[in-house]
Amino acid sequence: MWKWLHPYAKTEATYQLCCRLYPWFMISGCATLLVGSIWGLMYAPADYQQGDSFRIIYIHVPSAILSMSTYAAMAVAAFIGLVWQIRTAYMAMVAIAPVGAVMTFIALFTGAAWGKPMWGTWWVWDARLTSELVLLFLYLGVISLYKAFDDKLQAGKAAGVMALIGVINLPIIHYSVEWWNTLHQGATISKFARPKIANEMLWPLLINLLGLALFIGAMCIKRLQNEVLRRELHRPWVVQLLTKEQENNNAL
Amino acid sequence: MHFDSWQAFWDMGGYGFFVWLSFGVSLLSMIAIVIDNVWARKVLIQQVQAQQARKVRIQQSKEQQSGDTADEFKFKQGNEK
Repeated sequence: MWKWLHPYAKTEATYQLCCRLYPWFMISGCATLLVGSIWGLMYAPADYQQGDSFRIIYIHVPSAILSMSTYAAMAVAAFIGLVWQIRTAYMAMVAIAPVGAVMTFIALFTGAAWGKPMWGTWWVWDARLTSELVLLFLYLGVISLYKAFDDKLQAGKAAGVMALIGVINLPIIHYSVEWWNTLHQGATISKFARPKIANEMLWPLLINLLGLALFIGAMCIKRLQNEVLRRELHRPWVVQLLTKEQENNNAL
Repeated sequence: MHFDSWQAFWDMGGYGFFVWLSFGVSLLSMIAIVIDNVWARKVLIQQVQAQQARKVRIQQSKEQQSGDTADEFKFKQGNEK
């Protein structure tokens, strides 16, 4: 059943697949984000309580949701690497980590810039905010642990274990607004319940969620390509590829 | 469009600073990843070039050395005769 996946344990096959996927993800991601942001900023009605400041939701909620999904994806890659001893999976893990870290930063920063006018403070040490900050540190931990080892197989294992342990933080972030008294409001959109938001406000949010997911995909693909090249720098196909690219750059 | 004028759009009902700060920093962070990706690729190209140049240098010095020893060998042989 999973046999079609096996060729991608070979790094060159993975690299070629990334080459084919990247433009689709990048173009559709940027286009979708542009549509969603313009819709959200210019055409969505203002909130009756928060006025126009609620428009921060169009970047805050997608980046917050996806910072957690990205972590889950990274943990899956780490799991595959640890269980089946696939080198490419570790490369995927370390390609995903910085992208997820940036998404977490965006979620925290936009949250602060939204909290200042609405709550009167940039930051409070409440459950939701603190657990999201821990997520950022988990990402940074995975990145620096991977960098700390010269033997990248060891590095992948160590960082992979850390990524897997950190998964415990995901339900904590998700349920933090229910388990504890917090300043942060509850979930706006959920898979199971009717969204607590008007349709005219909801559409741009969903579009931006999709767009940011595609953008994150594009960034992870590109970083995976770079990581493959970095690990395989002495292989003939990499030397040939990069030498050719250098010649093309010189010709331009 | 929800806003009456561009002025109102940039003002965001008095929350302009916070809204544009959020969107601005987010956009900058996303551009930063893209730039980092491009830059990493350039570094890789340079590394491959350095690696290849080193290979060529090692090859040349090997040839030179083996050439030297061959000459010395001939020189010694000539002396013996």
